[in-house]
Amino acid sequence: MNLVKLAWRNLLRNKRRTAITLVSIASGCAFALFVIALMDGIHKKTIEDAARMLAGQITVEHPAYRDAPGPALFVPSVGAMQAVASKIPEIESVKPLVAGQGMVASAAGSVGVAFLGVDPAIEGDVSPLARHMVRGRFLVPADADARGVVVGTKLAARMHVDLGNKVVLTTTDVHGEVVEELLRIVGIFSLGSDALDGGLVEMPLAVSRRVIGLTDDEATQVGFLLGDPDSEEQVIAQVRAMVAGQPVTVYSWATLLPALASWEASGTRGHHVICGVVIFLASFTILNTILMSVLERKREFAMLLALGTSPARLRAQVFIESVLLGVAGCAAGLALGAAGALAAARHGIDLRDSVKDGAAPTVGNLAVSLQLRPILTLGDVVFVGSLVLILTMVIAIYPTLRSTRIHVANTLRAN
Amino acid sequence: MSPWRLAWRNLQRNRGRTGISVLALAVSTTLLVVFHGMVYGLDDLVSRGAVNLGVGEVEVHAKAYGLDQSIYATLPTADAIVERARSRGIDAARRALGGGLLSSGEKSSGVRIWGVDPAAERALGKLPSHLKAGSYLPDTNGNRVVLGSELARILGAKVGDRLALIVQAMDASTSTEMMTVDGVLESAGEQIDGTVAIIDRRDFDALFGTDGKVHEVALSSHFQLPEEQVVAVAKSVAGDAADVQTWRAVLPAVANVVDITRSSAGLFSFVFFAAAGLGLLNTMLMAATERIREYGILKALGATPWRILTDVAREAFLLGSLSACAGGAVGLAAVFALESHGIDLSKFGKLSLSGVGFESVWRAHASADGVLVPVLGMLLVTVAASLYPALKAARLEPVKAIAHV
Repeated sequence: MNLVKLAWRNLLRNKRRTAITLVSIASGCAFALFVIALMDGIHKKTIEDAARMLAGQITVEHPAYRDAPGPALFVPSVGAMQAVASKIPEIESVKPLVAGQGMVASAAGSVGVAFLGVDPAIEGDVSPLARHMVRGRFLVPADADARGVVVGTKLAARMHVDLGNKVVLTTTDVHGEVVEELLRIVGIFSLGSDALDGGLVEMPLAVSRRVIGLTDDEATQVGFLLGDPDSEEQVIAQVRAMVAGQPVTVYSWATLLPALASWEASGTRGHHVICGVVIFLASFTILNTILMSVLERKREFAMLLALGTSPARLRAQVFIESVLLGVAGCAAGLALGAAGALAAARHGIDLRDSVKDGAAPTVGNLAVSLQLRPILTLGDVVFVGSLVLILTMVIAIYPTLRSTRIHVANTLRAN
Repeated sequence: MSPWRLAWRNLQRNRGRTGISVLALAVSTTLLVVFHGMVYGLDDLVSRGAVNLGVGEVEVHAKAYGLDQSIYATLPTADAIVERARSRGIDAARRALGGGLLSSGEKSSGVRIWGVDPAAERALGKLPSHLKAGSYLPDTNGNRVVLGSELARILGAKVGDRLALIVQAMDASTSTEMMTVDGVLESAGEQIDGTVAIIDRRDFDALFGTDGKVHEVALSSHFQLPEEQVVAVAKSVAGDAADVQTWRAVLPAVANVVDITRSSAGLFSFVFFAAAGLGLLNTMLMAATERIREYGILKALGATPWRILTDVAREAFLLGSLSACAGGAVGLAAVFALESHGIDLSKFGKLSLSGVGFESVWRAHASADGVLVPVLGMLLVTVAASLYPALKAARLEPVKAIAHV
């Protein structure tokens, strides 16, 4: 009989013990896989929302803009960037943006703000902000002439303004002159971030260009949105090659939103460590079980050795028993964890009501998404699976060596 | 023989098995203690970040200040609050707050202006020493400004540069002053980085015409007093006319980060306990099965089911205490080591949550419940895991049990 079959039969000899061990490993794996997929989902959703609302996964800027943003440091040809994007199928849409800093004033006082000029025709479809309007409506193309803008709930409250009210934006234009513009509030949003709800004014691109003095082909940033965010590395290389020679620099979202990037990196690492510990504890039951079964079967092993089984063969058998337990438990656990993650991804887990005052944690001024949808990747499955297998093999070493450390004659004579 | 002694001898009968169980339990307990220590450390990291970088443990505002943050909502009792707090050994700082536009050449940015008493701020928190460049305001005023790191970047401003600060004063007139950059703060989270410009309160008065009035008092006992006590001191002076809030209320999103960490830590501990419990259940079941004959004989000799149940539970208790204590001790040692050395997070870049930056060294925090919860929890799991086999053993029929092979 071959060793694997023999090992399997040995495991089945004590069904309950095997079952408990399998349950332990499987639940450990399932939990680890689910948590990793869940965290992945939270990270990716928050980053995706940020990219869609702000400057895309890939952003083109004037080379000097990053170090000291100013209205005079703009991308000179939006048309050229759109031409680049049209040649790369992974780019879903192009967002020309005009971003700046200023002060808005109403009768009640003035507040420092960041303003963002966006194209209402594109933005309505892609930006999460358009889905977070609590009053009024999001920008429409006609707002370009009517100077309609949307502001956050906290900014509106602080300025004592409401839908239809007017505010004055003061900022500096490309020539360094202080300029003022009268704007009318058409909508109020709530993004769950104090900084954005209390300090962002979003307006039509045309209005922002007029205020700071840019032409229709100029913008402070051009963002590229990707259909598949995982294609970023490849696309960014393509874009860089295509814009070489033009006075622009191409950045990844990770450079523009370093807080999100550090959060993702440290969070992913942290959860891998915690899940590693869970898997380690679960795998430890294998040590418990196999070592116990080795000790229990001393007589049997002595008999086998007496009958001429080579120690190597006996060790191989014990080793295979533990690895089989690991593989079976891991397979069941991965299936369970994957099923759980996929089900949760389909239905979503909504935690918005479970945080106090709906105040979601924010990272880099962006509210972390509390509508959780795990994202399961092959990499996660491979991580959990290989961790269990490696741990199982390491854990199996001691029982394996121990199995043949018996004094054959004494053991057989005992009892 | 006393039942405890009997249990002890039973454990020693099969040293291999006992050894494995002790090892498994001790390792789980160690991991749990370290895990709790690190989670408490994370709480500390976030809450100390919030308290030390600006907010203080408690903030007092006029009731009307609220969401509007209107410059007219001043706090008349500020001086009295500061005096009372200092008499109780609590550091306190007055701040006048307003909005404005800071501009440098063609670059400008809306800012949140803090008019501060530099000496009081130095005593209150760590912000004044959290500098990337230059220095924090000196004790004499002179139209100097300290900028948040992101604000300095947006304005392209360096120490020594002169910037125009434009504000709307109390009388609604526009007021402008040239300010010299005295220092640039190190990143302290988005709440501060991109928007805060700190100036001397006397300069603030001149600019806004506030005439010594302030909007906020921040208090900190440097974690020496419970927050409620600091709140009580402020309330005793401010009365009902003011909002006295702990940092948790001022920054609910940060407080929620702490809560979320705590509850996910709870979930993880549950999973840890369950994983360890299952392993143990296995060992206990094996031990009980192996000894079915023995139990049968005991029952035949007149042992009551209760006696057998308690015997098994006693063994589990002994085993559990031994390993949980050993694991707890090792875990505590590891927590102390992680408390003094810490884990360097700086390779992940500047970390901040909910707008508040925190230090890049994550240290464990040793605490009594961080050790007791895992140790007692593990003991409980051990005894609970032994009950099922114990019940089985107690319910055996002597004749069948003796015949069991």
